[in-house]
Amino acid sequence: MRLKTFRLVALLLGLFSAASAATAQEPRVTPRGLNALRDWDRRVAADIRTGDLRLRSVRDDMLIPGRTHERFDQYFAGVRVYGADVARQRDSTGQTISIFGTIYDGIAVDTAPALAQADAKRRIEELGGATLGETRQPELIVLPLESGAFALVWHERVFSLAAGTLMSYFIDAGTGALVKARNEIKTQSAVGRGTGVLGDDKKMSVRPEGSGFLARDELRPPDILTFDMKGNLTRVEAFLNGRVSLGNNDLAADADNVWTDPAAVDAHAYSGFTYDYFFKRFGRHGLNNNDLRLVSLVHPVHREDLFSHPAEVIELFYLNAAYFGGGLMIYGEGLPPGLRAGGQSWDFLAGALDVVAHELTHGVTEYSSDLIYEGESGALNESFSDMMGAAAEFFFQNRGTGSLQADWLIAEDVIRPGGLRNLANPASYGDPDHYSIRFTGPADNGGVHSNSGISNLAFYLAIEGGPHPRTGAAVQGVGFANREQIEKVFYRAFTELMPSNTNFSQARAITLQAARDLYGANSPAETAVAQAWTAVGVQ
Amino acid sequence: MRITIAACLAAGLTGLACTDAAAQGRFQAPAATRGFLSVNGVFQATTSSFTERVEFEEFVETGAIETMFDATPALALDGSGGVRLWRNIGIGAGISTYAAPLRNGGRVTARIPHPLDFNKHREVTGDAGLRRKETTIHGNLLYFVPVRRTIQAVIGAGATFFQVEQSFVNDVLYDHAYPFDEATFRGVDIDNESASGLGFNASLDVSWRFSRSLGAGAIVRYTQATLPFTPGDRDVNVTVGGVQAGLGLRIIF
Repeated sequence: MRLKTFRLVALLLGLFSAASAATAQEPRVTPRGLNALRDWDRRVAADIRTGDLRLRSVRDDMLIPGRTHERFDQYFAGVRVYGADVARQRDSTGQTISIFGTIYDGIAVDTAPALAQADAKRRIEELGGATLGETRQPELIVLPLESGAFALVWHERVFSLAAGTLMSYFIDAGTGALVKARNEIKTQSAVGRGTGVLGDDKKMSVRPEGSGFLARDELRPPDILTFDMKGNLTRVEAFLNGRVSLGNNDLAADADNVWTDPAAVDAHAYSGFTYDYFFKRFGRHGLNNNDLRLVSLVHPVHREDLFSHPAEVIELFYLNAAYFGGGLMIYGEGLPPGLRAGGQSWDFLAGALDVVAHELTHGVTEYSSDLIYEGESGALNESFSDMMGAAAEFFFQNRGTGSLQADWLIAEDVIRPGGLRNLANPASYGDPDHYSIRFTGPADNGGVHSNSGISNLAFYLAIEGGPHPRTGAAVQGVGFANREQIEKVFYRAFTELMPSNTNFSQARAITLQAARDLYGANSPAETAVAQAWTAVGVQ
Repeated sequence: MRITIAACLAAGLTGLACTDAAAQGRFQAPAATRGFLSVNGVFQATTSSFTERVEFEEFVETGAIETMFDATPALALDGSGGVRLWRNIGIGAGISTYAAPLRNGGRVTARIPHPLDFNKHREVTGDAGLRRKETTIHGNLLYFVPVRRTIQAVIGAGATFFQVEQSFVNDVLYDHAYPFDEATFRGVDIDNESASGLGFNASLDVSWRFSRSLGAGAIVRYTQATLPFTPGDRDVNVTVGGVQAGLGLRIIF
C-alpha cells in the first residue's frame, strides 16, 4: 500500500482576484507547487471518470463569490474507502484553485462480503447492547488499517444508554470479528451539583478532567472559568500584573462533582446566570457580544488571614467584588463569622446574584459605551450595573424579601442586613435621590457609587411608578409585569447609544430616544422614562 | 372493558346452549359431528394496552419517560381443530398469530431535565415505534352443540400458551442547544423482549356444512394472559390477548 496525502497543496493558479489576493493565508505560487497541483488535478479528474472518486457534495463559497467547493469520496470496486476523500476548490471558470485530501493506492481486498448485512447488523446490535431501527443498516466499507493493510468491514454506530456511549463498530465482513470500535460522543462537558453560599442547590456546568471535575463551563457559548486562588494573594497580584498565567491546576475543582466550596459554586453558576440573562433578555452574546470568556477568581485571600493584611487589601479582597476588565472578576472573601463591618456581616461576595451580575455588567459597559469611570458618567456606569443586577435577580428569583428573593436592594444576600444600596430609595442608604443634591466632591471618583442612586431611582420609578420616596413627585410606571420594556430601553441606551462621557442630562435624552426607538413616541415606556427622570431632577 | 367483553361472551355461550337444550326437548336432536379442522382469517378486534413510566437520572436530576402502547386491532391467522370424545364433550387445540400494525406503535413522552437549572424539565413527544407479535396455542375442552343438521356450534374453554414479542422504549433521543430551554424529539432507543406464559381462552365456533366434509364457519374467541417482561433492568407486566372474530373453512368429520 502507498498512502498519498496532500494536505497542503493549496495553490493559486495565477489569476489573483481582489478577494483571493486578500487571503494572506494562501501559499505563494511556486512552479513546483503549481506542477503538483496540476498533477493532482489530473489524477482527480481521471479518478472521477473511472468512478474511483464519486461526488458527495458541492456548495457555493459564502465568502468569495464564484468559488465552489466539491467533496469526493474514494471508492474501490464500488465500495467506499473509509476516511479517503478529496475537497476541491474551483473558480467560476471551472479552474481548480486547491485540492486537499487523502487517496489510497494499492488497495487489494475482496469486496464480496461473506457476512450478510443482516448478520452484521445483529452482531453490531449484540456488541452495542441496543436494537437498531429498520433504517439503520450497516455500510460495507474498505477500512485502512494502521498496519497498512485494508479490511472489508461492515460499519454502523450504536447508542447505549447504559454505557453512555455512541459506539462506532467495524465488523469484519468475512468473519464477523470486531476489527475496530470507538466512542464517538464528542462532548466533554458534565453537569454537577453544588451548594451555594446561602445553602441553596445549583447545577454546575463543569469539565471532567482526570478523576475529577474542573469549574469550566462548556455548555454555554463562552468559556466560563472559575479559579480558586486558595488565599494566595501573591499569586493573585502576579496574575493581575501578567507575570503568571492561570491553568487547570488553578481552576476550582471537585472530586465527585458534588461541589461544596460555596464561593466557587456561586461565582461559577451566577456567571452563567448573568450570561443567560443578557442572552435571553437582549440577545446579547456575553460582555463583548462575541462570547468573551468569563473568568472569576475566588478566595484571593483567606478569611483567617484578615488581620495580617493592610486596610487596602481588606477593602479590596475581603469587602469588595471587582471587575478588572477583559472579562475578569475577583470576588471578595467576606469576613470571618462573628465579625462585622459597618454593622453588617459580610459573606462571600460571590454568593449574591445581583453582585455577580453587577460586576459582569461593568464588562458589558466596557465593551459598549465604555462610560468613563468618574463624575456623572462614572455614576451612570455604576448605576447601569445596579440596574442589571436587580433585573437579573427578578429574572431568576421570585419577588420577595429575604435570602434568594428578588428585590431592589443590592448585595443584601451577602451583606446582612440590608446590602449596600437600594434602587427604590437611595436616600435610605445615604445616597442622593435627586440631581439637586448630588455629591460633587472628589471622593469615590466624584461619587460614582453614590450619585448612581439618582439614575437607579429613575430606573425603579420608570418600572414601578408611584411617588418619589422623598419629594412625592408622581410617576406613571409601566408596571412590574412590563419591566422588560424599561430594561430594554436602558440596555439599548447604555450599550448602543451612549458616548463614553455621558452625563445625566444626556442619559435622559438617550433613554428617551431608546424608548421611542423600541416602543414609539408617547408610548407608556417613553412617558414613564420621562416622568422618572423628571422626578429625580434630571432634565 | 375486558371483563365486560368476557361476560358478554359467556352470556352468549350460555344462551346458545339453553336454546339448544330447548330444541332437543321438542325435536329429534341432530347428531354431533365427530370432529373438525378449521382455518380462519381472524380480526383481533380488541387487544390490550400498557403504559410504562421509566425514570432516569440526567443532569443531576430525575427525568421520566412515559410510554403508552395500545395494541390496535389487526388481522390474524388462526388454525383450530377438535374431536368429540364422549357424548357432546370433546377436546380441541388451536394456534393463532397476531402482529400489531407498525403505524400505531404507541406514543412516548419524555420529561428531560434542564442541564443548567433545576425544575425546568423540557417535554418531548413522539412516536414510540413499538411493535407486538403474539403467537398463541390453545388447548380446550369442547362442547359440541348440533343446532341443525348442517349447522353446529362448538363451545370451548381452556388454557392458552402465549409466546409474545413486545418492544419497549429504553431511551428517548433528543436534540437541544443553548439556552437548552427546549428540546426536540429525535427518536427512541428500543429494546425488543420476548416472554411466554399461560393464560386462558373461551370460544364459540359456528360452522355450516355445505358438503359431506366441507363447510364454512365463524369463530369468536377471547384470550388473555399477563406476561412478565424484563426490558433493561425493569420488570414490566403486560396483559396480552383480546377478542378475536373471524371466518374460515371447515373440514368436518
